[in-house]
Amino acid sequence: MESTRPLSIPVLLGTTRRGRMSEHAARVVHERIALRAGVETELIDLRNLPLPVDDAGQAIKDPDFSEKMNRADGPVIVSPEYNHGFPGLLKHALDSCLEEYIHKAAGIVGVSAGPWGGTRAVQGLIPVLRELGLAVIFWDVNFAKVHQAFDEHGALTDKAYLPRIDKFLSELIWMARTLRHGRETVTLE
Amino acid sequence: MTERKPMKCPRCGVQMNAHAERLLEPRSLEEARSADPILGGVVEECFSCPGCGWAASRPLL
Repeated sequence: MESTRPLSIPVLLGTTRRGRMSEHAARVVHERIALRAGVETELIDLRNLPLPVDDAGQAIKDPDFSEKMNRADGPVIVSPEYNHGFPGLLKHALDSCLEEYIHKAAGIVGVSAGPWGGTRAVQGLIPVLRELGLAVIFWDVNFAKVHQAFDEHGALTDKAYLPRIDKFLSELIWMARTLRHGRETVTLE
Repeated sequence: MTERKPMKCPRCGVQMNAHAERLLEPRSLEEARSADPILGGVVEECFSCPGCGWAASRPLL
């Protein structure tokens, strides 16, 4: 019997930096997900996660974040590129969960001030997400020269991003739906 | 086919589906003592509830 629960596609904003442009990227993606029928979403801001820094891994699991990841079928991870990598706090947050991720989909949105759109951060995240049990889709969204994509109020000025985001989301939703079916009905032999 | 002990969803009580096994590498000497000597870690069974979608796991018994 197919599940009737809405698909859960949350957006994880992977930086706490003041003045972060990733916040605008995350908000646009979140708004596009909200247009999809049968899909629920929320914007999870790393700033609001009470994760201690004197320990790491599942020992610091936050019950609220754990529940959101448990409910999620395919999180979108919005990651800026800092020094050719993804933020350490993002890794810290991701590592706080594990069973919540197994056999779920994930999509990555890279953000950079430079011309490469966070590609190096995306490439760095892929093996991490794989090890966490997530199946990363083959579509990315790359916000390059992000300061030119949004105005001073954070509104998207480069509308070419919208069809790219929509293609990315269609693939993520397909993968999330397919893996949910697998998790709930296909038994490991 | 692996014989599995059933697992009920801690949220809604429905029998969960065992859809994955994953290897957890030991992080301490104590964990290393209970590691599978061939696989080199503890195998976790991963379950998903077809009723409410909850995810859970436990060491493979």
